[in-house]
Amino acid sequence: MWLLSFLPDSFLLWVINIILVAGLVGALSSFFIKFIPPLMPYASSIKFVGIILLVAGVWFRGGYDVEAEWRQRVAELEAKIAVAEKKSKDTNTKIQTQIVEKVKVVKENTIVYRDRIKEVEKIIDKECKVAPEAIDIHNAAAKNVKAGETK
Amino acid sequence: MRLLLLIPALLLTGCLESVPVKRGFPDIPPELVKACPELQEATKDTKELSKLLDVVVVNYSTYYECRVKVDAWLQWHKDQKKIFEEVK
Repeated sequence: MWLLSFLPDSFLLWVINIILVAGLVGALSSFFIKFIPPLMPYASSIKFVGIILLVAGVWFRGGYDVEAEWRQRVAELEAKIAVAEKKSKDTNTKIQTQIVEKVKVVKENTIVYRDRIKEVEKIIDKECKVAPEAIDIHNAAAKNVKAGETK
Repeated sequence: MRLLLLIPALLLTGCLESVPVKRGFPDIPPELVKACPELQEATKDTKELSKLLDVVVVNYSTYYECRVKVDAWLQWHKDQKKIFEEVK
């Protein structure tokens, strides 16, 4: 049925309707062909071809309707996806901005705290010397070294 | 008569259809794909508490930067899930 997508809708519908009507006329020919004597010898052939056309017409008509319905659904879904993708991008922009702003605040705070340490450096260091073990423990914790390996 | 039974089956094949509608995975903000940095270590010969405290402050800063990213990931997931579920 994907081949139908290469043909314009109106042309396709027109061809299908002609097949359907021709098939219907052919299939019902037994009721009126007796009134047309020259066609009498071909009655069974006309009826047979009519039935084939009718079946083909119904098949094509069903396929066309399904195709049209799917095309509409696809168009609706594609429109929804386009909206969702736009929303997704907007959300990402918002989140990206929030991250940059929050990280900026964290960095600014860090600068302030480090400056404060420098200001009171002498007071902090006046009565305290750090033991090398304290540095080892700190570094092990910072590197998340396995607890047993710190000693 | 048996052949007539094939007609409905044949007619139904006209209704077969598969329509692929592709949907891409949502993009990730560039800041979120950066890994969190390692924490700093104090130098072995550090004797002053102020220097150790400085390293601790920097490490706290690293933690808070990383926390911002984790919070952003949670927000991103929540928002993108909501957007994804809106399309049905």
